[in-house]
Amino acid sequence: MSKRLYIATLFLLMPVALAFAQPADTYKALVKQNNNELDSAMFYIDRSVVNDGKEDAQTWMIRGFIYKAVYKEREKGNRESKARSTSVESYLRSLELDTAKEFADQSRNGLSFLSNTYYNDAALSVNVDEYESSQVAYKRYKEIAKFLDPNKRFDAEDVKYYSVLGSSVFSVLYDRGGPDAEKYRDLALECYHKVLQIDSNQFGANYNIGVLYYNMGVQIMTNIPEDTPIPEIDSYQEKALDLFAISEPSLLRAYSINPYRREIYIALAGIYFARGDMTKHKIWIDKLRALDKLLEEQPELNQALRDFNETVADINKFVQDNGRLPSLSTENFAEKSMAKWMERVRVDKTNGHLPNSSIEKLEAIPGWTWD
Amino acid sequence: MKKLLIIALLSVGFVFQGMAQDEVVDVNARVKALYIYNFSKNVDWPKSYKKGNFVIGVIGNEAVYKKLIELYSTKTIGAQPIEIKQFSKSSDIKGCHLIYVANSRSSSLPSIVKAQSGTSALVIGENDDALGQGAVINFLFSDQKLKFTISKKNADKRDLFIGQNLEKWALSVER
Repeated sequence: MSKRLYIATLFLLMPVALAFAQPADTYKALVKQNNNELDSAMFYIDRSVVNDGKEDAQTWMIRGFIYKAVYKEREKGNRESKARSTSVESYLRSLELDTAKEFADQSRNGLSFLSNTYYNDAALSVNVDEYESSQVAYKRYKEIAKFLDPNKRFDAEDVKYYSVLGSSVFSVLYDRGGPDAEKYRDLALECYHKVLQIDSNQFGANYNIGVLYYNMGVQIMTNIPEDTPIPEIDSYQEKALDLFAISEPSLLRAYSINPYRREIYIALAGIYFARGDMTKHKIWIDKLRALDKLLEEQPELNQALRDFNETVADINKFVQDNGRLPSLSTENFAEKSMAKWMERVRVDKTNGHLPNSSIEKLEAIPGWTWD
Repeated sequence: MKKLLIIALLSVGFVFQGMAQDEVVDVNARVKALYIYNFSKNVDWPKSYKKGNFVIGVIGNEAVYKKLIELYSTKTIGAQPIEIKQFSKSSDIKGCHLIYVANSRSSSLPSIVKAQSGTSALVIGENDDALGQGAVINFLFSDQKLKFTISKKNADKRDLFIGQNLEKWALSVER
C-alpha cells in the first residue's frame, strides 16, 4: 500500500474513531503527520501513549505509522534507527491491545515493511566490518517475520545468509590477518556450522570448513618455532593432526558433492602426507593429476573459473550500463558486491595469486585500474 | 519494501574464496629440520669434529634442505657455525657431521653408510630398514606423528655419544 493511499484510509477512518472517543493527542498527531510535521506528530503521539491512549490499539498503531514515516523520511539507511524500532514496538503493542483485530491489518503491513528493511540492512552489511550489525538486523528480521507468521521456516534463508556471511568474513581472513584473523576465522566457522546444522550436504560450508581447518593445521606445522625442543614438537604435531581430523570428513563430503574443486584434492593429499600415509597421499595426488587433465579438456567444469567469468561479465554489463566501475560507497547491494569482489582480486594480484589469463580479462574491462 | 536478494552475493563468488595452498605443502619438512637441529644439539661428536663449521649434509628432499637453510644457516652448534650442504651424488659427501638421506634416496643409504665408515658422520635415514643398513637415526611415523628411532650400536661404531635426553625422546633405542 502506498503512503498516500494509507493516509487517506486513515482519514476515512477518523470520524468513526472520533466517535469512539479517540484520544485528542492521537488525533492531533495524525493531523500533524498528514501535514508532514513529523516532530509535532511524534510529540503528540508520544504524549498520547503515556496518557489517554495508553491502552488504545489505534493510538499505538498510529504511533507505529508515524515512526515508520520518520524512519523513511529521516533515518533510512541508518542501521540503528530508533524511529524504526519505536515503530516496530508500537505496532506490536497495538496488535497486543487490538483484541477485536480492528487495526491488525495496518499493523501487520507496517511490521512486514519494517521486517524487510531489517532484512535488507542485514544483506547490505554482510561484510567483515559490519557483520555484527548485520547479525543484529537479521535476528530482528526473523523475530518480526516469525511474529507475523509463527509457522514460517527460515532454513533456506539461514543457509543463504550464513553462507554469505561466513564467506565474506572468510574471504578477508587471509588478506587481513593480524590480531583479528582468529576472530574472523571463528565467526566463519560458526556460520558454516550453522549452515551444516540445517543442510549437511551444503557444498560451500563443507568445503570451507575443510579448507579452513586444513589451513589451520598447516599453519601450525609450518610455524613451529625453530628452537622448539623435541617433546614440544610432538605437541605441535598433535594439535595439527587434531585439526586435520576435523578437516578430513568435511573435505570428503565436499568432494562427494562437487568433485571438481582441486583444492579439495590438495588438502586431502596434504593431510595424508602429514600423517605419513603415503598410500592415500599418492591416491589423491593421482586423482588431482587426473582432475587437472579433465579440467584442461573440459574447462566448463571448473567452478572457480565459471564464477570468475560470470562476475567479470556482470561487471562489464554494469560498466556498459553506468559508464563507470562499481563503487564501494554505494548502497546498491549488487554494485557493492561487485566492488568488493574487485577489491579482493586486486589483493590477489598483489599477492601473486591471480593467473595471467584472469589479469587479462580484468584489464579488458573498460576503465579497469589496479589501484 | 522488497527484500534484497542475498543470493546475489553468491553470484559474485564470495563462497569459495578461501583457498587452500596451490599445491601440497610438505608440512613434515619443517618438523624434520627441527628434529635434525635437535639431534645436532644432543649428540656429542669426537674432539676432531669440534672445530670449523658444523656441516649438515642433505641428500634428496629439497624441502628439508630449504627449511634447514631458512631456519638454521645463521645458527651455531656450540661455537661452530652451521653449514648446510646439499648433495646430488652420494660420492660427493665429505666432511659432514650429520647426513640426512631422504626416503626418495633410500636406495643410496647402504653405499653412503659404507662410504662414511671410519668417519663420525651421523647418518639419518627414513625407511623401515635404515638402522639395519647402518643409519644411527631413522625417521618414521607412529600414531600419524613423525618420530625417530636410534641405533646406539651404530652410534658407538662412529664414536658418537647420544645424549640421554635424545634416547629418552626416541620411540625406541636399539642397543
